[in-house]
Amino acid sequence: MKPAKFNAEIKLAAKKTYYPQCLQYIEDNLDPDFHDLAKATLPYYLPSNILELPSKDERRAAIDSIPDNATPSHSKDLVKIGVEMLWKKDRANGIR
Amino acid sequence: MGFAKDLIRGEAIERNLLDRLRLVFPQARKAEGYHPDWDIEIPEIGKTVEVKYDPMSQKTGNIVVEYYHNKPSAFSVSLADFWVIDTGKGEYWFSREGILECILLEGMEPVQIHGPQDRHPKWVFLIPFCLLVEYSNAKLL
Repeated sequence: MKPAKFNAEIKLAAKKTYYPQCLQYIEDNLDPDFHDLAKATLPYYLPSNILELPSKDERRAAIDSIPDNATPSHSKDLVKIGVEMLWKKDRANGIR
Repeated sequence: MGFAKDLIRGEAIERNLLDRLRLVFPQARKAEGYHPDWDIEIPEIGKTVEVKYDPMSQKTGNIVVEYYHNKPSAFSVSLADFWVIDTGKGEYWFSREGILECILLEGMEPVQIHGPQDRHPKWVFLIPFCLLVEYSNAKLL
């Protein structure tokens, strides 16, 4: 799979926002050889999608949908930091 | 400079940084053996450091932040509080959050590279040095 196609698929997977649905998209649409890579890439695309959820409770639920033992092992941590970072940036820019 | 020389130079840079850290933090120590979480630990302040040598950035203008090499690697698995990137011309300190912030806020997309010494391709973020350096806000204390 070409990188551009892979990136496009990961963006679509991340639009599912909730981790189990993201994984389902990956399993349904990507060759198994790319599943681990896709899971490792997801944390970089998920934060902006989670941030678009309308309420804090929904954003928290989306973060909590990532299991603590997800692979790679720091996935949840990366996504949580990413969401907080983007939220602070938006707030500093007067968006939130 | 070839891969072997880069490796030796990279180890020398790590050793040099450790020596300098020990002037202030005598208990600072290097990780032994395979240790993807961090390269240097500073017990006095409970912080860890990842050291990267990226001389190619002088030619390409990009810093390579690897996250997958046949399995989750480097940025995906490192727990280090700080990333010290030596370009061969200068040493730059980043917090882990600073690098993540750059990737997310600048909309960096992963790319696949295949080095001549690599059995498997790597997935990395190629971050323009001039962009990444704006996120070099790490503070040790």
